[in-house]
Amino acid sequence: MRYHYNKGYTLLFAVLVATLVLSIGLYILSVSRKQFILSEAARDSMNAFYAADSGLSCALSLRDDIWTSVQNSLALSGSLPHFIVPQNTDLNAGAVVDTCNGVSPAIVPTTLLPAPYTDAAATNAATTTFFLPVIIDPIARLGANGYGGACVWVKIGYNYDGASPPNLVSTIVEVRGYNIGYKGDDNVPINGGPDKLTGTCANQGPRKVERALQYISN
Amino acid sequence: MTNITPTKRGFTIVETLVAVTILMIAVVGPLTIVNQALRAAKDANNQMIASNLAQETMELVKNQKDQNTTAGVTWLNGISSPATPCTQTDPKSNLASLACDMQFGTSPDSYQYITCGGSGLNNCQLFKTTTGNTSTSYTHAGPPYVQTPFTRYYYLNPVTGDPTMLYQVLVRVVVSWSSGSGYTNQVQLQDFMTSAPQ
Repeated sequence: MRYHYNKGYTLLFAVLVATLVLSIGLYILSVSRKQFILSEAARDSMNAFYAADSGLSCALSLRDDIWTSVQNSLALSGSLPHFIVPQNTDLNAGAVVDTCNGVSPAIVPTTLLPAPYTDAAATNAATTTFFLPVIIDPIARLGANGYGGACVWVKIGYNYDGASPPNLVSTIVEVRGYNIGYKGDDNVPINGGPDKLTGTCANQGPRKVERALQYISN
Repeated sequence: MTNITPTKRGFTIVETLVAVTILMIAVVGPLTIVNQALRAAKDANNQMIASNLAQETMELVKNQKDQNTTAGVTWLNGISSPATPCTQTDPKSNLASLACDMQFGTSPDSYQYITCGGSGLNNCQLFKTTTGNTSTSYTHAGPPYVQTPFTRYYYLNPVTGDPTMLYQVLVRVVVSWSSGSGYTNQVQLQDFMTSAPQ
């Protein structure tokens, strides 16, 4: 039996080398995969940011018209409006109603809710919220690709005083952009016609990223 | 002569085969893994560059729009020509060369709006301008600048309610590059833009 002490050494050596080299390979793969995931996260984050930026653009283009509706409604009935009257106050009057990317917060009844005012000079506040798809593809809009396209949640808040008609003290716009997650209304026709405001950013996915922006104007 | 001890025997055929197999796995396996890892690292690198290239164009478009708003000129001035609007979604298949891009000029703060696509202006291919070993910026001007695997363009997508882009539009920047295996990757960035001042 003492003559067999060397047997199996080659096998042991091969296994040891294999383990070592495989470990190094797996380590490099793991590092590279993490790099790839990070670069995807950077891309997703950028998409979410531009979704938020899109929401801000929309809010800033609508805020004056929405405020005019609030002001008129308060002056007439003393209550907040249940829908927003398109004002067509832009320079290209008549060409455009108050829509953003096919979504019409001005046409579909948008409830303005009383809110706690966040400005010392104000005595009242009202907010409205809506969702906006930031996508071109109709299929992505309906979420057929799994998680839905980029989406943004928009909240516009007005702080105003107690005069009649009320004076606007400050406007706060808060937007939350998502790289994926738009969940459209299945009843909405894919092509043509303004979308309804029934879509949300509710679809969940493993790589969903949120980027938020706040805009305050006094 | 007959007194041969077991220690002088060679490896058994089974032992050798097992060792060779394990060594083969030990060599081929890690090589494949490292190859995939290098590809993933390169993809990650290209994806980061592509994302930043897309952001560059998007910010230049937004900057141009803001400058137009401040100057009181047409809001898409220098972004899209009214006669030939930048609405071509696939410039490679269209010979009309209507795709557009923003690129930096020779002086640090200058940038310009160009059209590319079809066979025009290197088919939206990007080249690196270099000074010595330092890369300075990306441009569509061809040689002597160094060719990169990236192509970049943007297009404007009219939205429902404003087909003539008088007031609002969806801007999409497309950066694509081909990886080694001929597979084309793409980074797309979109932003909804209105003429309202920000």
